Amino acid sequence: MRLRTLTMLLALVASVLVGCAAPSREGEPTELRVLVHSSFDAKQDLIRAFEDEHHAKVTLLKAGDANKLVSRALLNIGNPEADVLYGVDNLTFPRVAGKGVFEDFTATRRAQIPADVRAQFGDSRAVTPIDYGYVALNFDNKAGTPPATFEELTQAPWRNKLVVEDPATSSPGLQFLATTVSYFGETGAYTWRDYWRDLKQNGVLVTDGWSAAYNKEFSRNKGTRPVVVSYTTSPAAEVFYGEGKLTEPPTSNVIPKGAKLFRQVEAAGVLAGAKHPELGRQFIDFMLRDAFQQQIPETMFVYPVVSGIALPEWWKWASVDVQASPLQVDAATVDRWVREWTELMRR
Amino acid sequence: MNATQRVSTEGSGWRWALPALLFVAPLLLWPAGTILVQGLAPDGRLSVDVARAVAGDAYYWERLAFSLGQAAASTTLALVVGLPAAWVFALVRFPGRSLLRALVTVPFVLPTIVVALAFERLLGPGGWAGRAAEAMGLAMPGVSGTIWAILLAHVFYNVSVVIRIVGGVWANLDPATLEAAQMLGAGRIRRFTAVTLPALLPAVLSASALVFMFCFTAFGTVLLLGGGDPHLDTLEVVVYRLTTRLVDLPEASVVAIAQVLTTVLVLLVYAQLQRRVARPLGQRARHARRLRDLGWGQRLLVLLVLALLTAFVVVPLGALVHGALTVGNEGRLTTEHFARLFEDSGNTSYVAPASALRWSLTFALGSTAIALLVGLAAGMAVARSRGVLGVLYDGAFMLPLAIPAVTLGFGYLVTFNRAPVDLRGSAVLVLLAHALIGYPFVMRAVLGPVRALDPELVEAARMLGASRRRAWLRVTLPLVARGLFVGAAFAFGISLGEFGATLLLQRQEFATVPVAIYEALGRPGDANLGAALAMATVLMGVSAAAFFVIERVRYREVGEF
Repeated sequence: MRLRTLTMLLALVASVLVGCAAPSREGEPTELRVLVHSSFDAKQDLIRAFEDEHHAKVTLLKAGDANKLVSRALLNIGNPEADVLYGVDNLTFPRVAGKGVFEDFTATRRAQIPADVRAQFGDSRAVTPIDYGYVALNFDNKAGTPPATFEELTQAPWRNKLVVEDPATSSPGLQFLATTVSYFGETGAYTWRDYWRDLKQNGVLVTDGWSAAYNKEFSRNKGTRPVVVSYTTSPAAEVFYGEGKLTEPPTSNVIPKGAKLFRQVEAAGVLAGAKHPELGRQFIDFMLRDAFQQQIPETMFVYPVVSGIALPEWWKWASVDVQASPLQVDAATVDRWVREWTELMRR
Repeated sequence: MNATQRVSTEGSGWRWALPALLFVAPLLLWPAGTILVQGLAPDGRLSVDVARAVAGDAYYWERLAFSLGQAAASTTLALVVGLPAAWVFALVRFPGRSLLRALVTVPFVLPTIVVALAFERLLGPGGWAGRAAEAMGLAMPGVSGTIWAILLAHVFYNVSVVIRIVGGVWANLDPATLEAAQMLGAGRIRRFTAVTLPALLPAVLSASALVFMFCFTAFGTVLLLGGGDPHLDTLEVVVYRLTTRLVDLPEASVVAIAQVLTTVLVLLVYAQLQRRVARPLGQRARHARRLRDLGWGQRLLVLLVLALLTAFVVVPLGALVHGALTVGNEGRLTTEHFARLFEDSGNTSYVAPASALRWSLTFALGSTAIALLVGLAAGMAVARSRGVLGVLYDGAFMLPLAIPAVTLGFGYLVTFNRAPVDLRGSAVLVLLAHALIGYPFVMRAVLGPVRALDPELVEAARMLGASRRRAWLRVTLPLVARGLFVGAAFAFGISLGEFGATLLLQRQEFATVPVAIYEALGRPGDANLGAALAMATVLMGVSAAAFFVIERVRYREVGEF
């Protein structure tokens, strides 16, 4: 008898499961599912305007970081859980390229995206670039004079002063590794490996993600280390989120002379096998419109990809005169960096 | 005692095992198995070379040894702090007892990153501990970023498991047995070693098994409190590092499988031990004594225990609240971060506190209900099965604690992805995932009372003409109810605080409190750090209130524990 009761309860649970999977009724707005990384953000009224315009309901599925996002897409090729994916970047794109994850699409404003940005995805039509950003060293202004070069950080005055993220688990960590590869090179008398070995000897601290590095270890937030790997927009974000108490950033970007920063470009694509591919394409076009591009700085703290977009006043703290590194990467190369770095730093 | 009847109660394990297996097989074994096999054999062929390479690499053996060692150390410490505390809560009445017991369970629901921030405020430079030591003229040892920080966090998280599971049995030991021993001339120490200790041993083992599993698969605490020291990586961290970039990496699968096998091995040894020490006990609620009725020695012990609990649990919680009240204001107290939680930023990422709480509580209540059913069935199955089968059930039903959450999350995405059970993006998946990690706690908490149940009670009821079902409902269930309450508290807490699976399966509108905290911590600036800490304080308050209510209800219905 008790067996029967339990089995009935389990059957009930099972029927709820099936019920939830049932398709929606007619006449309701079409549900557009957009798979995004956890940092995705946008103005709610813009999304509502899109929904009204297309008689749609936008559902955001959040997938963790860019790596998890891409893993999810890879696990469900041809049978996607969403219609559109946003947040694949030029470091994770090589993992999905040529695997049939996305279906090709030429956005209406594609020509307004700078050619060198598109080139970071090999000008592939599988994805449409939406925004970009740079990772740089951030310095806590309370701590005196910032370092002037990358090399300086391997010297005694900077012992135990730097905190970075693990490139195996963190997107900014991987971008900073790419910047050091591009700066020091793979071959020669002093390679990126030598640099990291010296950093290790000088007490660099490695955290698994940005949040632990910035919120826990960075001296701006109760930690002990005045130099952190973060974004070039973080000082501006400090002012924006300073609750009106800050007129100037408490932190600053450290970009050594002649250093070329790795440029991270984030893109969106229509997933192959999507239920509503046409609506998905319209959503990507919508992301390139002026209205959406203009709010990118204050919602996601990255640079809009369409040239000539009007920017907010406080964004001046995020403007940096940097050259993007010309580094081209394929999946095998990125894997090799991470493996070599892990061997060097984590064993 | 009638031998055939004894057998009929003991051998009924499969009736209980069946429904529990019907839950565990599709929700755990199938998805986790699929993802691990996919990783191990990406082209359909098993890659034996990888397994051989991993087995031949000293690095992985070192990580395994470290994982086991720190888990053993954490468990020992949790017992050292938890056992005296279990005694105090079980047998002594003092002002604020319910509140303190509720507070001690709160760590269970706090996301690791929040705990790490609290510990940094406590143990880091200029932290409370350092300043207190300085005031006393002592030098504060550098704990931050060492194995000690990890161990402290593990005690912080797990001491309530010991307190509740052992304390539950302790409070209900039949005083008649102790009185009998006293009359037979046994002294205080002899009474403890000959009567109390053997009676408590199954519960102590149960609690130790849970704490050990939790610490063996430790992940967040190690990543966030280990100070990035690679010598402090557990196997779980190694798997995480390998899977983050490439889910189909054979190496990650081999390591994950090795971790599961080790856990199973440990569990089998444990289950064997547990069977040996289990014995029927007389159970009766004992009245806790008031503080002033105790002798001087016992009073001192009570004070010592309270001081320890305050240091290990209450102070870190206080550091968190203090942070929420002071971020960005140079030490001045202000409630502005709490007020800001209610201001809609107009962004899609804005999570209203009421909405986050509603989802958190919905998932927690729903998953606790499922966890109670499954945990009860699993516990009965283990207790009622003889020999190897019982040991095997025990190992199998504990697996949810051994399989990395990320592995399970990805497993769900590849198994529940076709009609009619396409659950991707469904709230039900979150509910079931939470129930899956919650029920082992119910099972462990139920096992003790079921094993301690005197079979003669059930037999007496049967002989008086009660049907098997009626005997179970009238005799077994009321005695097991105590364990169900303890288990429910943990299942509830686990669900409230969980975010690994939630993060992997969530829709924006289902954002729970831990998800909102995690997202706020993903952005720079005082407003975000303040919002995260304020949200964490709210989570703390709500869970403390919930645990407090559970305490009060329990008192009236099932006696003391």
